[in-house]
Amino acid sequence: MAKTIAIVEDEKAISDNYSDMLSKQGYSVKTYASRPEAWKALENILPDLILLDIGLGDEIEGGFDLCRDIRAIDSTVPIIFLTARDSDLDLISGLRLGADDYLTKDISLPHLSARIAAIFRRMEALKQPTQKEQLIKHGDLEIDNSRMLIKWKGNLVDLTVTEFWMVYTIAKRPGHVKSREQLMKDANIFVDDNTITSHIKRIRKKFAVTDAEFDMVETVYGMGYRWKSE
Amino acid sequence: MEVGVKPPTTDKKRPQKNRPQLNGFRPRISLRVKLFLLLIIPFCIPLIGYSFVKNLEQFLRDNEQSLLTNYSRLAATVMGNHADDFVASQQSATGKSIYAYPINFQPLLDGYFDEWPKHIKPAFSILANEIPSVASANLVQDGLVQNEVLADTFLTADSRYYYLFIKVVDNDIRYFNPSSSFHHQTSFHDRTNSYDRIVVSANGANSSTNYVIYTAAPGNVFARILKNKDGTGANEQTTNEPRINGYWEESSNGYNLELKIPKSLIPNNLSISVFDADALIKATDETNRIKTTAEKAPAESYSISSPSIPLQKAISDFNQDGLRYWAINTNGTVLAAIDNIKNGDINSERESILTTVRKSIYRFILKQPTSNFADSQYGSSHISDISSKKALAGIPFQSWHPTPDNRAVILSAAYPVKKDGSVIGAVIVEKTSNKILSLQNKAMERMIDISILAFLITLTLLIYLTTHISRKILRLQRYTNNSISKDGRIISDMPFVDNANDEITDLAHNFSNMIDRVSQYTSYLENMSGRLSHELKTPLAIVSSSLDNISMCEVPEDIKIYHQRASEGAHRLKQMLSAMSEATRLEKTLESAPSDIIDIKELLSSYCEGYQSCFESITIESCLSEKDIHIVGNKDLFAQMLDKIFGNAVDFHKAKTPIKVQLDHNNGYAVMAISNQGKTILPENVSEIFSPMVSMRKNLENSNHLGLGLYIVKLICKYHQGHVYAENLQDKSGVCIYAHLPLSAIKSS
Repeated sequence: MAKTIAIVEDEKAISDNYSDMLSKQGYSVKTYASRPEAWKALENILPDLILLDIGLGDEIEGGFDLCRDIRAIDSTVPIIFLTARDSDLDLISGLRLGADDYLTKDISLPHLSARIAAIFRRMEALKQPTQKEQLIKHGDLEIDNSRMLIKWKGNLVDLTVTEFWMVYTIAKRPGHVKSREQLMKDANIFVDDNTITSHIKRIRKKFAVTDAEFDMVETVYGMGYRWKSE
Repeated sequence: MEVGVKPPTTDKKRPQKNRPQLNGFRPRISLRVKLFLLLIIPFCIPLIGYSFVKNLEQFLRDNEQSLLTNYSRLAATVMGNHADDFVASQQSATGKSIYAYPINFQPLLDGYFDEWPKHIKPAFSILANEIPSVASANLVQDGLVQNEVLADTFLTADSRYYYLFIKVVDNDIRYFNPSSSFHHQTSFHDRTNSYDRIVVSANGANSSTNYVIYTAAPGNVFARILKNKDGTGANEQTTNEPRINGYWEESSNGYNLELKIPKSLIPNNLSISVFDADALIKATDETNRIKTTAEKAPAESYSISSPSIPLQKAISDFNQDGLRYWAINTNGTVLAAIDNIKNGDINSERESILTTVRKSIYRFILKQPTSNFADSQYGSSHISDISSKKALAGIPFQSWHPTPDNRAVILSAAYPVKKDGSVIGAVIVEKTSNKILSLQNKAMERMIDISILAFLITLTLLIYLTTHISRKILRLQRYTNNSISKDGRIISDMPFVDNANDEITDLAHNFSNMIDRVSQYTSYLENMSGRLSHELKTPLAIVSSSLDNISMCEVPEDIKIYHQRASEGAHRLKQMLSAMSEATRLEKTLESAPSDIIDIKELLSSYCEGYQSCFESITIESCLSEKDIHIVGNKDLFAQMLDKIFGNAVDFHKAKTPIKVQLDHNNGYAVMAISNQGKTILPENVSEIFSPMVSMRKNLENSNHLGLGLYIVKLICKYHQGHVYAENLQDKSGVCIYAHLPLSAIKSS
């Protein structure tokens, strides 16, 4: 059965474009232009993934409200914010409300589809038992590539898909510097330099939650980032 | 500049509003002039008051003058009833007349002049050559020159007696020797020539009596009647006259004789002869006694005029404090007088200390009425001033004349006394201006009091108002100064708080509103790039998602090239938009970025290494300080700043030339210089290149830049409390960007 995706987006041209592309990929897509319309439908039947814009028509924060409502009835359905708003504040708010990822509209359709695919893959993988060959271990770091899970000193670090890909990229070969350009390419993200910096910052914070002493992600000024080799 | 969005410019080029010059032209009066004009008002009060007081004085003078004229006319009319006395005094005054000053006390007969009133002038003087015996001998006696005063006589009278005071100059006083009595002397001449004496002759209409006054020693004198009917001295008989009393006292240059003679003894005329014994003897010796008759020649006779009693009585009815009445005959001789000119009502109330102080100040400033002035006319026997002369000519006249010591002004009004149309005398009324002066002073004092009060009130109000206003203006000034930073950014949105309701508060509110609006506009401008990028993202997303969809479809080859171009365009647009939002995001980041003590030498050196390894085509020559250089800052932000500076240097550098990096410290500042060879900056752009949306990359290819790179450098530098500037290299071969950052006081461990 095809996965269902709901797109809540007030700009019809965009939602049509997304919907067309995702339909071609074999997903079943439904589009909603406003929060009440979306809520009316989603309240009863939840899709497998929701793409959510923040500003919905007159409701500047309609997306946030909708996310909160959905999380109130279901805590697992993946929600991706897809918005023109790129401030750190919005990003943090979105992720705090329980979204699985926060993407800006800069993202290209192939990148978006890769991201969606990754999320579905992760969900599938979580249902399967761990496959040993997919595990990468560097000291205290444990990466489960198929399930997109990262453990530090045995504790799960709660990362979004984007963050996972970034950590995966730099931690694959410890001691090697990854420039920002490489990071962007490998992490399938399209963000500016500052977004990389803030992503790195957030990754460090998330590791610090499990281990206050964490300092493995190192900035090499003028070049990029690397995972410290032990 | 590359982008259509221009930074806000000041409106230098806005045409100046023309002030209306012709219609309704109003001269420009500065605040200072206005305040000055306001200050003049309290000064006007005393000026107006002064002129008022002067007018008042004139009015009072006129009033006083007419009042006094009325008094004099009234007195003259009353005096007209006693016309006979005027005429009589006129007739009796044949020959020379002397005036017996009226006195109201009896002088003590002691030979001293002390108790005699000071105003009494000599009735007549006997000159040296007037001594009968000496004059004809033409001799100068006692070392006196001819016409020099030998004796002064003073005459006063009360109702019953005449008082005579005779001051005689004599270097050799010879007293009567009682031992050589009248009877033993062979010759009267010899006898009489042996002692000094004075002969008082009382001349009636038909008869004349001579009284010889002499003494044996200083003290009471003898007075004898000299019977001298035949005119020779040979058979001279003397009888005592006990009614004449006198006292003889020696003085420093002669002797004084004070006499008291009943009025009845001197009916009308009086003459006095002085006999100086030593001079007489000398004269006798030298002229062989030729002048025996001469000594019998009568001395000059004076008619005595004394105040007329009926007139005096009549004039006494006019007695009034502060006034002086004279009644004079046509000769100017005073016939009656009543003098109360100095008895004024100069009040002396009880006063508080404040009033006393005030009064004493006024006393210092203002001329005070005084009764203690020199009165030249007091007790005069003869009046011949201008007003009396006019009155005697038949014209009523008033005059103001100051006293000799200038302490008071006397108003005199003279009015002729007429009988049958002809002037027989005059009445003069005199008064001091004291009353006017005291009224005037009172008005002046009141005026000064009011002026000072008004002045103080005005001054207090003015001071209060000006300090109030200036404090407000200063506050407003501070407020406006603090509102806008040097580079024109609004830094305070605090409203101007003031409860007063006036123009300045309105102005302040206007300022406040203006600053609000400007700050809104500024923040609008500042956020514009961010908002613009946000707004543009949605349509861009439509374009790029559509392009992405096209790329998934089967499209003809000839269309693909257009699709590729459109994708490139969309990509460039994305880059520009992300650059635009970068500055906005950075500003937000800076607000909350944590700072630490960082070693920028280490940072810079590792940065150069990293950069070098990334861009192998570029040579970086670094010349860093040997010591560590610590500043307070944020490593990530510092690196971001370096990214932008290096990126700029690399973009502009001439191929195969090195990029030079220097770091040193100077005067508490870390100085970082990053230079590259290549295109120089135009001098007029040097200060502008750090402004947002200013780019010099006109001719560079692949220009996705919006001129925000160096703006970010400036923002980060400012975050580190430093400043950044660009200069062309001295040889014009390139550009150097300098960053000055304050060193940290504490070095990191």
